[in-house]
Amino acid sequence: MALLIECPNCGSRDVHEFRHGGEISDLSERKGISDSDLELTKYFYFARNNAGDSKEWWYHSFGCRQWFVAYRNTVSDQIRETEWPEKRLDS
Amino acid sequence: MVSQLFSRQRFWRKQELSSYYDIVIIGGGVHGLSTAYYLAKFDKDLKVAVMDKSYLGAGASGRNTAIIRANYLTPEGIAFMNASLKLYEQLSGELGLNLLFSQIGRLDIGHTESTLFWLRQRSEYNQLMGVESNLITPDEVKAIVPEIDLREGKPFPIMGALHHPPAGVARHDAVVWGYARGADRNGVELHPFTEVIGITKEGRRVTGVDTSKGRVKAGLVVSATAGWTSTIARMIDIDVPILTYPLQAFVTEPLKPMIDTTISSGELHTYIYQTERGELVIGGGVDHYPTYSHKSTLHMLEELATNAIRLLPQLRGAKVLRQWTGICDMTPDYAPIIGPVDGVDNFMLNCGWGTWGFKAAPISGKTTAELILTGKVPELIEPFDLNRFYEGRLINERAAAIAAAIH
Repeated sequence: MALLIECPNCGSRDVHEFRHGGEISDLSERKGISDSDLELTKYFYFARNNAGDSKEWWYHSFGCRQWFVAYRNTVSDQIRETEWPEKRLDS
Repeated sequence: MVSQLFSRQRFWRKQELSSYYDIVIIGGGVHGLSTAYYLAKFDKDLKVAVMDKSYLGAGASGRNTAIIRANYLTPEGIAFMNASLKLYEQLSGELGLNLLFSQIGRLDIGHTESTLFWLRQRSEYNQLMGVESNLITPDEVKAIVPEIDLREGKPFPIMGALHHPPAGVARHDAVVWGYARGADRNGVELHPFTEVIGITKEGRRVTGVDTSKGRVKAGLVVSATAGWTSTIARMIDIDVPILTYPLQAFVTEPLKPMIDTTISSGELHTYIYQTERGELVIGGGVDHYPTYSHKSTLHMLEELATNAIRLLPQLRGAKVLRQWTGICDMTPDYAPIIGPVDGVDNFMLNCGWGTWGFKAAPISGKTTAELILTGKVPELIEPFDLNRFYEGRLINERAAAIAAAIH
């Protein structure tokens, strides 16, 4: 378990201060999906759940209350990098 | 004669990998092995192989806390788990191996009015479906577990409990070994340390598997890999609604006999029972984020220990013997996924066992085998198809793991 997560705002903090916000993958992209039942249910329920590299949302719920993006290996549970989601907001 | 009784016999044979099997089952856990056992029992001529990347029962089958019960909430869940409980009652005889199955009963504790309402609802559903399940008062709880802390005004006071007498525990490794030996005796090949690294396809048809020991052709491939299902799904490019979460538990040092039932509290996300050896097994909810990591954490140990002491204050001085972690394939509706996948032929999923898989293994294997052999979906598993997620027929089995499932 990654005991410390590097919040882009607060620095290294205990993992229990954070909330996992789900993976960022082609299955969790809201953009471009139609409102057909098939695509909506896929968006709601399905996940890549990759054993290995994962790009995901984290929320510093017991800290600065900011959402950020983390690159985590889900097998070793090491977080390689964290960053603000600015790029996503701009595009 | 006597020397025969004590002669050492292997539970299953070591086999060379063949180039073709009628059915390849990926995953040598309790679900894969029970599926293989019933397949071979129903049709002895089938060539079946079970493959696992590690030893048999290395995953959740050897890491669960071995509780078996049927006091579920939904008609689908109750019927399915009750059928499994009935199979467990006969299983030691069927497999010729003492599984140490003891029906010590189950108490689901309620600490608030709203939980009592929910437990009442469950007891009514259970009784309607022929499952023994009653709402009992705090004094009746005390009669079953004299050590329980009934003080009023404390945090999480005990206001009642759902009593489910036929529930029990079994030796989980023995269930794995029993099914493995039974399958082996009926001609199934068991291949531990044979990792499936790919699945071969021609068009929409699955034709076999690539393993760490070479390519194998197969008439049908069944995935029974629980926490690793998403990895298998990637091999044939299908999507599954599964997130892999770790689940932790620990045992104390052996203590004098003090409780002879299983106790669970949904509000405290903690459950406790005492093994025949005297150790108290204490488990709880899944970790707060998904991961494949098997590392146990001090945080979870502290949380579970605190809550266990809330129920049984005598445990305050007990020493922890060991703590461990397994990984769980959690589905959005706390119900399993069994059956074929649209768009892929000769392939079947048996997954979504989350934190509720051990108790379901006998009926899961039996119905999966029936489905494979007859091509018809047995009524018990009809609601558990993958398409329910596309069609909005989710089951919401909130009683699947009230203490464990909070993802």
